[in-house]
Amino acid sequence: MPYSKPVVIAIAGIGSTEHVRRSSRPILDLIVDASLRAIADAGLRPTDIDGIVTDVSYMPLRAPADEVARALGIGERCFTAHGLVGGAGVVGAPHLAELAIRSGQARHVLSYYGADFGSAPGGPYAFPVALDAKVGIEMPFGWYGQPLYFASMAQRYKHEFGLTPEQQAEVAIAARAHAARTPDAMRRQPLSLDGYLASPMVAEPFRSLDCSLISDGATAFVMTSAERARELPQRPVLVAGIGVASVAETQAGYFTQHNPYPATPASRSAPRALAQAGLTPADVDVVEFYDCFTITTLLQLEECGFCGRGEASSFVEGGRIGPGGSLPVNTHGGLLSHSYMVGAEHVTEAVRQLRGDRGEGQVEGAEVALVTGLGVPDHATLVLTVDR
Amino acid sequence: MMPLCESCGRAVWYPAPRCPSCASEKVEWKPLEGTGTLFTYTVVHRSFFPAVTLSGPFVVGLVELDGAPGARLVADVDADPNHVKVGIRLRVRFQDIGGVRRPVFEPVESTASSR
Repeated sequence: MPYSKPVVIAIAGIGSTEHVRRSSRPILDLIVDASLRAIADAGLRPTDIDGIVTDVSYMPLRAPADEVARALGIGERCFTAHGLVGGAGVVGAPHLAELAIRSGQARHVLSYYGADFGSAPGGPYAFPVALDAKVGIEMPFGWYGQPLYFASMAQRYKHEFGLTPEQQAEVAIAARAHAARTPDAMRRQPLSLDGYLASPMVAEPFRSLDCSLISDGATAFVMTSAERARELPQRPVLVAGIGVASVAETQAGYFTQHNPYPATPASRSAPRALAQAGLTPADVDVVEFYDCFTITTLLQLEECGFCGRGEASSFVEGGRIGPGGSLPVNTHGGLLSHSYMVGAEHVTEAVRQLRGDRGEGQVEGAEVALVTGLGVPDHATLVLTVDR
Repeated sequence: MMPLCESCGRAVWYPAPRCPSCASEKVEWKPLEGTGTLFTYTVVHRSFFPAVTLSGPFVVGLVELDGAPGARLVADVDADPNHVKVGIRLRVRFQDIGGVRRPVFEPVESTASSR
């Protein structure tokens, strides 16, 4: 088993800005704001930060480590990494931070993600245009836009295993019900089945409410050794397991060529993270899945071992992943109802749950959280625990 | 036509310098029959291109072409959105658009719409 050494780091501080459809503030300003909040939450000063880890696809273009470091005044960076793609890069940040902290190359590592998808030209639809293969052999036939890529996955899932609009609605309604208990979620008004069915069709079988929000904002967190975290003011949240997986397909070709289809690489990253933590799916109290579309939640329920292949569509029935359900999923509302912070807010939500700081959204007795991040062809899974 | 590996017979799609299955450099574009099976699809109701408004829903899908194992081709599927299904058989037709030949796939059994 790869990565079998016990993990020795903790998340010591978290911070977020407001999340809105369109912000008047530049993305760097939002990131600095979220980072300063995370550093202060950890009881540290910017000059204590000596490492930065974030994603490789968007942050290098919009807010690279050098810009953020200067704006924060963090001084010397001993360790810097733009790692995996998108959500895998942010949720997987502890993978690289742990290597740096364990080897003594850095002591306090900051991870951040900022989004300006509401205000930047093209928003998230600018991503596919940057890939030559997509421009050359996909777009001329109308195959363009993330909703199409995932809708086609859902259509194939429906063909193989069955999937009804009511089952898709269970995922969207659960996310919204969690968001209703989350003060800073973007969409908090209750959602009914009729409300879901009335939302406009985008790409069959997806309606608009099967799709991620688009937002502006930023979220950050600070990692350090478990030992050091115990000296800091917050209740430490241990990173007990980390699994990253990068499958042998390209970012451009993943959505059409990858096998198995439909799938995310969670089936590789989640077992690694759980094994490293010495835990099983049955031990998990709270789940934060990268949920860019309803199908992504369904696939990851199966791939992470919460149910068998083809069973997720019936697994979610009866409010099982909603508030008070036996497996609460995306307790802040996820990408569907909280904000599109590309996984960063999934990490900070898990930390809040394990600190016991979530007010009316608190899952009683939460001690183990599983968090995932997707950024094809990469995927990351974290298992976070209270400091037992 | 598709790039096929002469050593292992698999299609190399999207194009790559060598066959990812067997590392052979003997990858050649070869003609195919132009028939295949619809692997998955979506009926698109809104455009993600700025300033493009759709005249109506359209079907786009992934086709597994006969003679090109291991590849799925993104295809404009000229089929009735209400009758398209995973697994239907398709055949290519080439449209001439201002001197550019553009492939369109139609159902082999005549459920095709006129467009």
